[in-house]
Amino acid sequence: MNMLLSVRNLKTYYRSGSSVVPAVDGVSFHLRKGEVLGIVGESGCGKSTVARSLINLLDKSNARIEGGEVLFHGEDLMKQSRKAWSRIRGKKISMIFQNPQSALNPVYTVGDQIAEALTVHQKMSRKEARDRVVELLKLVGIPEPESRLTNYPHEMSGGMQQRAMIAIALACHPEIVIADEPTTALDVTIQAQILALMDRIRAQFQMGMILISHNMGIVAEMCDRIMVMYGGVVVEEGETAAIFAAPSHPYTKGLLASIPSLDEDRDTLYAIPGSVPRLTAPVGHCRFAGRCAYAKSKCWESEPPLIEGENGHRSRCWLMEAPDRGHDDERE
Amino acid sequence: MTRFIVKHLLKAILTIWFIVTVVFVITRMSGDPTDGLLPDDASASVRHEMRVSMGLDRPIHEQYAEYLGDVLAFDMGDSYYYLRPVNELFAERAGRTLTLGVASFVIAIAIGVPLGVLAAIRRNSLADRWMMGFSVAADAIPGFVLGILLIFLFSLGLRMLPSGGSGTAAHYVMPLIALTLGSVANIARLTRSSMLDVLRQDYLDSARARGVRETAVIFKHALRNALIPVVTIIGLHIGALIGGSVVVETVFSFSGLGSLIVSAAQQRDFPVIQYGTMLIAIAVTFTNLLVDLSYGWFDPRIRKPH
Repeated sequence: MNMLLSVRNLKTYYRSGSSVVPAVDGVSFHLRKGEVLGIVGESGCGKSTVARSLINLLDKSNARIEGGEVLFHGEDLMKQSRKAWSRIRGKKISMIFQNPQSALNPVYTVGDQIAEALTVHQKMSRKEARDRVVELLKLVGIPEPESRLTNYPHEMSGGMQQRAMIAIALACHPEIVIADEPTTALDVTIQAQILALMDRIRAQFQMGMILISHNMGIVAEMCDRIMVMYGGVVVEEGETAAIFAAPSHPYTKGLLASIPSLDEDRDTLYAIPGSVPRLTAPVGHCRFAGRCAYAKSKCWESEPPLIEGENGHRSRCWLMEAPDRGHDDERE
Repeated sequence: MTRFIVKHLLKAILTIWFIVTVVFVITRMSGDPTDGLLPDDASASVRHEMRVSMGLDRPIHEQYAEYLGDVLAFDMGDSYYYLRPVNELFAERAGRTLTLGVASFVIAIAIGVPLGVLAAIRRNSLADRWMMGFSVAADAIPGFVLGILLIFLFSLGLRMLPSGGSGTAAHYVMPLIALTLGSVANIARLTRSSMLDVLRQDYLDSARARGVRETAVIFKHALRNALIPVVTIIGLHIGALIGGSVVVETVFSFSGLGSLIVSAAQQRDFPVIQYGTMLIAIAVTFTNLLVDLSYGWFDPRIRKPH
C-alpha cells in the first residue's frame, strides 16, 4: 500500500524550568504515497511540534524527542546524523512555513534562496540554476519570473512570498511536504489560490503531504485523511468524509460545531467551553475530560486508548467502548 | 544614490566647519600662547611684539576670517613651538598613528566578531560565560590604566617589550593592545546579542529545512543579518579609536599624531591644535559616511526601500 512514512509512538517533550510538558505524547500515524494527511487542533495541541520533529527542527535548548520512531523508506529518521539530515531536508522531505515574510531571509534575493535549495543538493552551474529557478517561479505562478528573481523578500506581497516558499520547498521534488499552517498569515482572498497551487503541484509530482491547520474548512477541502490532536495526543483519526459525516470524539464534534454555516441564521458562534489545559507528564486521565460535556468518572480515572472502529477510523474516547449507551445515537 | 552621497557630503562639510569654528574660538579663549614660549621675566613689549607677529593682537573675527581663507587655500600655518609648517609636522608622524589606528580597527573586528558569534552559538556554555565576563572587564578598563598595567607587566616585570617610544615593531605591541582590547570586547558583546536575536529567526529554520548545512546557516544566513546593528557601533568606534590613540600615545610616549596634539594643547600651539582637530573631524565624519553607505550593502531594505 505504498507506505511513505510511518510514525510510531512519537514523544516530544518540552522542558520549562522543572516541569516537563508532553507536547507530543505518543503519536502514531502513517502517510501513503501521494496522500494528503491533515493534522488539526487548537494552538498548543502539539501539531507543529509533530511537524518539527519529523524534519528535525526542534529547538534543542528545551525540546527533546523522548521516544518513538519515524520510519521513512524503512529507516528510522530519529537516528540520522546531522550530515544525513542535510541530505534529507529539502531533497526528500521539505517544509512550508506559516509566515513567509519571516521564513525568507531579508538580505538575500528570492532567486538566490530558491537557487540555494537546488545547489545544496546537486552540482549545477549558475546558468543552470537560474534557468531552473525561472522554471520554478513559473510553476508557482509568479508573473515575470526573470525580473522577480532579483527581488528581495520585502519587495514582494505576502502571497508572492508564499509562492516563492513553495518553489523552495518543491525545488528538488521531495517525496513529502510538510505544510505548517501555510495560509494562516495570508489574506483570505489569497488563501484559496495558494491552497489550489499546492494541491495542483502535489498531485503533479505525486508527493505525500502533511497539512497542519486549525481551519477545518481547509482540511476538509485538501485532505484525504484527518488526524485530530488534543493535548499532545491523537484523539481521532479517519477518512475525511467519515470524520465530517460521523465524528465520534466529543472534541471533534465540538470543532465541527464551531464552523459557521451559511445555511443557519445564528447570532453567536458555537465555541467549545474552557481552554486548552496545561498538562504535565505523566497524564492519567482523558485530556479532554475537563471540557467534555459527556465526561464521566471513568474519564478522570484512566486515559482511554485509541479505539479502532470501521475503515481504520480511530477515536480516543471511553464512550466508543459502548456505542449502545445512547449518547451518540445520531451516529451512522 | 548620487543624491544620497551629495546630501551626506554637504552635511559632512557643515559638521567639519562647525567643529573647526568651535575649536578656533575655544583656543583663543584658552589663554595666551606667549606664556609658554617666552621666559617668565620677558617684558610686556616683547610679549606684545610676539602676539603681533602671530596676528593675535587683532579682533577675533578678523583672525577667524583670515584663518578660514588660509584653510581654503590649504595653508595650515606654522607651529608656534616648532616654527615649521604644521602639515610637515603631521606628515612625519601620520604614518605611525595610521598604522596603529588601522591595525587596531582591523584586529578589533577580526577578533570581536568571531568571538561574539561563538559566544552566541554556545550561549550559556562555560566558554560563553568566561568570554562575556572577561569582555565586561575589558570594556570597563580605560586605555590609560590598561597601558600602565601592561608596562608594569611586560616592561618592568618580564622585560619583554619597550615601555615607550616608537620605531620598531615591538613598540607597537602594547599601544595596540591598550587601544584595541576594549573595542574587541565591545564588538564581541554586541555581535553576541545581535546574533542571539537573529538565531531565533524563522528564516534560519527555513534554510535548514531546504538542506543548508549548519555552518552555512550561521555564517551565510545569520551573520549578515546580525552584522547590521554591529556596523553602527563599528562606526562609533572610529571616533573612540582616535580619542583613545591620543591617550595611549601619551602613555607610551609614542611619537604619533595623538601625542603631538596633546603637547600642542599644553603649549597652546594654536595652528597644531586647529589642524589636528580638523583632521580628526574629517576622519570621523567620513568614516561615518562610509558606514552609512555600507548599510545599503548589508541591508537591501535600506538600499531598495519598497
